[in-house]
Amino acid sequence: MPDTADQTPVAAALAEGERIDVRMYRGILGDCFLVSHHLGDRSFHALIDCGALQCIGAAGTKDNTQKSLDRLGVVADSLVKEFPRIDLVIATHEHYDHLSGFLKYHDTFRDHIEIGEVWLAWTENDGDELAVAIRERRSKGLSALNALASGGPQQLAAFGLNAADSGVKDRIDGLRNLLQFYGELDPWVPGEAMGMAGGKTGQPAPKREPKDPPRSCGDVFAWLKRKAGDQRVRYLDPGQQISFGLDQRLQATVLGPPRTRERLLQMDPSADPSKKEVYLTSQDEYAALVSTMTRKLDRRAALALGMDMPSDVEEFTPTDPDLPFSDKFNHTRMDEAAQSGDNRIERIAELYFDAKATDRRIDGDWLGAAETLGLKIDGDVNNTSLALAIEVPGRNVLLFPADAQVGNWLSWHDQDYPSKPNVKTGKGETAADILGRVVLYKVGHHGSHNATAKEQGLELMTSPHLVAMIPVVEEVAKEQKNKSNPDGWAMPYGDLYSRLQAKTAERILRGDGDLAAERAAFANSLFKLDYAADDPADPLWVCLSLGV
Amino acid sequence: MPSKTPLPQPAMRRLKVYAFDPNASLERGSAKFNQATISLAWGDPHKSDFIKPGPVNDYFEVIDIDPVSNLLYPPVDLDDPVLLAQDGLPPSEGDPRFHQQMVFAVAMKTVRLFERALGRKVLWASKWDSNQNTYVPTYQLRVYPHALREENAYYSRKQRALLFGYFKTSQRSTGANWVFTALSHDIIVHETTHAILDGMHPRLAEATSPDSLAFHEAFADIAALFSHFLLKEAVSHYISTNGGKLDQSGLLSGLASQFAQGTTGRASLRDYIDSKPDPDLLAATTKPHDRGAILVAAVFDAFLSIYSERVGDLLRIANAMPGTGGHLHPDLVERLTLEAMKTADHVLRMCIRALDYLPPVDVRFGDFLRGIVTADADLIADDKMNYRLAFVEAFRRRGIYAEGCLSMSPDNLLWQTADELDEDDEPLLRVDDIQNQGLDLVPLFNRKAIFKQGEANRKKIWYWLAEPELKCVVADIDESLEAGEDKLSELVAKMEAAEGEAKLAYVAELERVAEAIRRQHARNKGPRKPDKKERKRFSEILTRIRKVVVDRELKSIEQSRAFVALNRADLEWLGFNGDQLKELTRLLHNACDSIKGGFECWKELYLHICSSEKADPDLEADRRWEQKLGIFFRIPEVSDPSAPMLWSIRRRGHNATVQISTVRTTRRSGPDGENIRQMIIQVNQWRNAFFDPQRQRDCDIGKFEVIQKDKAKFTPEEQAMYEAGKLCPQAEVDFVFRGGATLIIDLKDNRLRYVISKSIADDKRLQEQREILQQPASLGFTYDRSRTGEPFAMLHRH
Repeated sequence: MPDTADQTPVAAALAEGERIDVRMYRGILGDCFLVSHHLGDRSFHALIDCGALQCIGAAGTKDNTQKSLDRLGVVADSLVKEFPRIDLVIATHEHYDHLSGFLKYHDTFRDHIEIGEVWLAWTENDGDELAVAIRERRSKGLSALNALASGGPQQLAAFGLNAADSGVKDRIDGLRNLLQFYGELDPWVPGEAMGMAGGKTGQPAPKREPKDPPRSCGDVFAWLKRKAGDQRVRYLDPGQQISFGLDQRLQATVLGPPRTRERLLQMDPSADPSKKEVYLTSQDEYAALVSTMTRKLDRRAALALGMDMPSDVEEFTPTDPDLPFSDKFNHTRMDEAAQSGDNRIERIAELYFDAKATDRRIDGDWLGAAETLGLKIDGDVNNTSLALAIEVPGRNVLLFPADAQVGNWLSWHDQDYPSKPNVKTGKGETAADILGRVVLYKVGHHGSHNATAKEQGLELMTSPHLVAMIPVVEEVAKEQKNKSNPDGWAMPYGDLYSRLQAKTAERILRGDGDLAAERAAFANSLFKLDYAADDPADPLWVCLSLGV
Repeated sequence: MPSKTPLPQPAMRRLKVYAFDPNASLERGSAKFNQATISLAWGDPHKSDFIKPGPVNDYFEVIDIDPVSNLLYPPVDLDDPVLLAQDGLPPSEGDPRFHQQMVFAVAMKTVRLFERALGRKVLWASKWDSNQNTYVPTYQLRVYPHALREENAYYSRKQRALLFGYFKTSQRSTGANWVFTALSHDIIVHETTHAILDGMHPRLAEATSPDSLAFHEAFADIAALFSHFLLKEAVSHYISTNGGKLDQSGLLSGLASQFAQGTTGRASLRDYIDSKPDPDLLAATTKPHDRGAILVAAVFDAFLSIYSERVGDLLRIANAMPGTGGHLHPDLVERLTLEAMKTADHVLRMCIRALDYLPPVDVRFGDFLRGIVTADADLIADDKMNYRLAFVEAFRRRGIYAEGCLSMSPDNLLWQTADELDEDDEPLLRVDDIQNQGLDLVPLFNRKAIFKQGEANRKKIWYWLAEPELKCVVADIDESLEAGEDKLSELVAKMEAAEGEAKLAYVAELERVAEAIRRQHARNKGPRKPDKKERKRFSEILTRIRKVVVDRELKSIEQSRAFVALNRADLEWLGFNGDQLKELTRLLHNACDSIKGGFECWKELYLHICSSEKADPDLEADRRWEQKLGIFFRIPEVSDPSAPMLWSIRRRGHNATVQISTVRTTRRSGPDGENIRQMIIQVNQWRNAFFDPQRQRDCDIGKFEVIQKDKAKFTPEEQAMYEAGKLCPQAEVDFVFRGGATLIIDLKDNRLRYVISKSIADDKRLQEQREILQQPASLGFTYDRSRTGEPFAMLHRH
């Protein structure tokens, strides 16, 4: 160690020129940020996420997405070459566009990098009962959705669905798009208990062991934990404040995800509609889908497909407790109703099965619930984003909210942050105090409409020096089209983007930004702007330096 | 032979239902009134409103199929003597047959509510059959009481069905393990209202502005909310416990209580006693349900002020201060209850009547207010109780304004009448010839017959409106003038033969007569206006010819000849000579034999008719209609600088298409015996629209052509044109923008009363629709455009 360790840190900093660099890797739709702390000839490097959106779809339909994913390989190579040791890896949440670097280019990271420490949100802690409950529920939901989305026509037929039906096809496509955020998922086991209704079997589900090399975002977490060693993994709770960096001169404040069971799981009787968004999908909703799918699954077809079937998932019986009515009403199976022998029932069956009115049947309508659930899970995972405010010496704050959605943002105001009490009140700082000191905002969720809170978020960032970094490539976002989204995703979202421009005096850096414009905008900034030298037209990264 | 004396028929069929939902039966307060009995008309088994097991009747097919459980539950037979004797099955969550009974009874009650206010039968949205160019009727709406295992219920446009979900809940406050949406009175009324509204206004389900989807939701909530006030026991209980006041939130002002507790743990899904009206809130609210809530709160507010106006005297007489606690006299409670029920009934009727006075596309809240005020003013000229003012006030307090109105006074909110006159005191927009189209206006009671009649009328009106206007030209053939000229030559002869004084006298006479003839000539220069009789004759001939062409009635050349011979007098009156008549015969035969569409054939004949002496195209009249309706019959010409260029309204390389979506007649009676007979016509047109304003402009001025063809199937020429930017496949058009109008014609005097329109050339509206459609999709698609077929499914998945 250099002998500066004996001096007071402040004096050392003054003497050596302390600096913070925030580097954003460009040209990918996904987050990959490197925060470096320099003091004299020493450096500390923290990597926040490393991922790009998965590319699913027919060849040639998503050229830009493929390009972005390929470029992530270049990013990985360059990262390990430049930084054989990363002091801290922060993995924010379980989505492909934040973690796929460790999955897709696993060998690169496994063989060429040393990881000092790993920070994860408390929701990834296997020792936390609540976290485990949330994750298991979610994972079972995802498995169920996956059983629908990954199946071919045969598997769909086993669920009583016709793959040729355009309505079914659209919904399955929609599901596939949502599931591309996770990688490989656990196999689904029909009839599996979700802690309540829908469960018939007492057996626990066979749990999928984390794979090495990782094949899903969940596996990446497991790998990171192993790589760093259990002693050096921290699970962060909201309100927690940690000193880190060289000589512990940086401070991370954990804003989210919310910790309390109330915020996460219970329903709030509050009439404020904006508060609804924090709630995770209720267990009833999971149970409803699982119960539906279990009922719909044709046992013989499933066995023929080699699906795992617990022995106690039985063929239909009128006394099945999972049926809403008592057995005396459960004697006419729908598919046998036309020959039931009961005149009245046959009349009704005739109406329903009328060949001229097939468009009015409702056989596949339950799939709508699957799609809704998929959407909710997607939001839930975003809400488990580890949201960090990194305070640098001089009290400026760099805000990294990952993909936190409104619920997560609102919860930041639930607690105060005691490390540096507010001079006036004597109490800990509020989230608003911290947001007031933000000078760099990593825009949430690639600039989408639902991951930057307005009054409780962006509008509280009042520093005149504010700058923003948006890890987005608009051309990639636009490619994410399907029947539901004919124009792809709106990233960055227009209204938010114009508000950001106003708040930052146009000091915005984008993954696909125009270099000349960016240079012009940053001519007058607290930060010094720099680009990688690899390609003057399309540099691999952009960096903002803050002298302390 | 012993004669059989018929038994008197019962007046009503009574069916038990939950007044709210099963949960309300569990609380001592509400259990007393949670059982209600709905009375439906007793159907004569030989007539159409006979109820078969299901229940299946003229309006609904309750099909209790549960695809998730793979079960079909036995249908209830409401005609079973056991059920007849006890007003149907008693309320029970555990018997699917009661679910069928309740969903049927409540849906029927909702239908009757609308029919009474509208003065006609409810018809469901029909399905367009593009092969046959006609609407295929939906006589019966399907009702699936156990369609899904999901916290959801919706009206599906595609299936023309109501789908009710059921689910298991872990929320203990519901007091049940399973929650059935088909047992919630509110949810049934709400979804049925969606279906009724969609049948009336098929274009209102499109997302055109923040108001459009919100309106559908809000209206369904209004119907559900006010149906609470038709339940006497509940209202009376409420009034006695609240000391006569209605403005406390609770069971009456909230919706879908059990459903809400089962899903979110809240007391109700939505509660419409709003804390404090805020005139700025509407402008800041964009979510459909939230915006809709403001509209419902406004209507509810109007209801509360009308109620307190109506009961003011009663409370003074009884010397009671409302809401101060203290028990009210049971007689007073009874009277207040009746007033509350009556007020709710009036308010709901006002809202329903307004539906006929809305534009067919892109309804805004302000339009709804104008509809309420105008419809009410038409029926009840003298607003003694200030109902209309109560509405206007409540809307104004919430910042709901009508665009383009001078002020928010009820007078200014009336839709403008369309009765401008020309210089001869004749209406500028003539609808008197509509009667000559052979419309069938006989009031009918059978819904199948009503649908057929409406569809036939719709086609006739389409021709009447869409075909270019012809005017009848009458050349002057004044017989007195000819007589004058005869007299003149006679005088000349006499003068030439005369001598002396007599000759001079003849000269003077001659000059006088010549002068008279000159003056007469001057007066009669050019054709004169046809009189009423001539106009009628003219339009009748046109209609007759059109009918045989469009319906292909002439099967052979002989029949064509016979038709011409039969109408010879009229045709000669039109100015056809022998050769022209031969040509007409040939054309008629060709047209009836042709495979071309009816309109195409009619156009050829139409051109031939224009060659007659009496018929002239009347471009001015067409323009006047276009301006009023906000649509275009022809693409505006380049030479007309005032008209917008709108090639984007072209269809398949042809001209503009105009659609008539519905034609219906209504008959309403006011409280003082006023009787209104109206015909209501919805006209609309669509335009290819683009998100990019530049591309829009290019399309509008015809820089490229939109064709209905898949890009993959382009010919090399088309491909080349496509690459040059001169061709655009329909799939690359971003969305459809609609304009159109509702025409209200008074059938008493055949005058056009109102034209309520939204112009297809309105670029401000176009921009607003762009913004709505481009709202964030992002990773969590908040708005799913591909489901335009099922907009209500999306809104209800909360």
